[in-house]
Amino acid sequence: MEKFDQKIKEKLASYPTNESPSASEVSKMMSMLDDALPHDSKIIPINPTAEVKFISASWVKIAAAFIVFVLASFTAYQLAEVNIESGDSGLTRVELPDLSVIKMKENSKVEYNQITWIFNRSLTFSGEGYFEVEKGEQFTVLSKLGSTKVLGTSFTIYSREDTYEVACFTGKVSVASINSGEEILLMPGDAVILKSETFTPYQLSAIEKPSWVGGEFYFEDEDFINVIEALEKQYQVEISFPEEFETLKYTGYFDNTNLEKALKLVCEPLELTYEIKGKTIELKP
Amino acid sequence: MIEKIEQLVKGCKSNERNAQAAFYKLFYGYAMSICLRYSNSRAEAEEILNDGFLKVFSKIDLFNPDLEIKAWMSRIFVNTAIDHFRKNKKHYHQEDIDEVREISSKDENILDSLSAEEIMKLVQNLAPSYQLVFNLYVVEGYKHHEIAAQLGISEGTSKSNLSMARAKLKRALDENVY
Repeated sequence: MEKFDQKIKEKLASYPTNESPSASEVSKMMSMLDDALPHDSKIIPINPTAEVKFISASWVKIAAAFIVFVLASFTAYQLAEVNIESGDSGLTRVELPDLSVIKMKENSKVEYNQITWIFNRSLTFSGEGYFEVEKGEQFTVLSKLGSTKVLGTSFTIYSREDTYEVACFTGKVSVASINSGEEILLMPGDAVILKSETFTPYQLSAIEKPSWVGGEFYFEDEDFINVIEALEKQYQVEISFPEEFETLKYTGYFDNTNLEKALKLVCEPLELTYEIKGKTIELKP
Repeated sequence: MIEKIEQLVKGCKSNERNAQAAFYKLFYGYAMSICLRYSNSRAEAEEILNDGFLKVFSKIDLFNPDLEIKAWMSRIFVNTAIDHFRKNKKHYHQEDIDEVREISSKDENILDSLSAEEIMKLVQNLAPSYQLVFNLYVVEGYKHHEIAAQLGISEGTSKSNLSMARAKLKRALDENVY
């Protein structure tokens, strides 16, 4: 048997590997990559000192976009579609044409049209996000399960899989179920969870925006491994450390602005040292 | 060559289409030689190959440059083939082994006289569940308990699928179906 297996294995190993893809296969792969790893999905971390403007949303550009829209017809309408996805990590800041801001957590998505935006502040959203809406006409956020309407306010939306959750921090927020049409009004400090058609209102313990909005991560007596995982996720790095560190507990915080600073904040209290080699980091006693 | 590969990997890590295209062209043949043995047709192999490359490109950040790129890629393509098998809900054959004949030295001599392409065809003609276990055990060097855990089947099923794969190959050799 083994000799039989061995011979087949050897023959298969000698199968020629010099085959090349056809031009159409290469272009097919490239278009699959455009879908799977689009270039505009790059994660831009939020830096409080120098906030990155994710969309260039100055009014000049809006006007320019508008003129283009008038000149070209339907194709141009499609060009005005804006589709922003956050990647696997970090916060993505999205500035809307009216200067309203969305801070999205990982794996979230926002879509709107720059042209229709001028007449109707409406966008579709999935994932988790903190919204700071500039005062003005009605602002609508559509998700799979619910829609949220506001005038000018700040609130968070969680819309993933079968859960839709909205928390209001300032102003008034109206939440409606897509399935039943039922509506509920949230005042500051109110929050509601919507599962299929059922609303479950609850009160926030404190009327303050969630800590992730600032890109800060606080830990109290947290398992070392969880802290490292958070660091890896925020900075897209790989961190290795000796096994005995697993039992350590960490109390402290870091933010997602500066890797060295974050490493210092984690390592110093635990008396560890670190070495950065490109995308991999080694922790040592 | 090694430097070129390093350059390409770097480019792929920053999601550069040129680098990705060159990487795809460079390793297409190698990937195809893996995907063909996990499929019944070229079209199916291409499907696995495309899914596998997408995984390679989206996970390339995790690739440790000190390791051999081909070994790393091979694992991804094998896992993609396993996913593909599961997704298509191909069922696991559990025929009784009543037709297993001893493999004779005659069969081994026939093997020697066949080309790699002809052997590949024989493997491609195996039923999916026999083919998968045969590949994992014989080519990838998995143990039966590892295959059982990976595919969610019993060790007994893994063993009988391997025997069936061998029996089918032998029959094909005897009947000159290659």
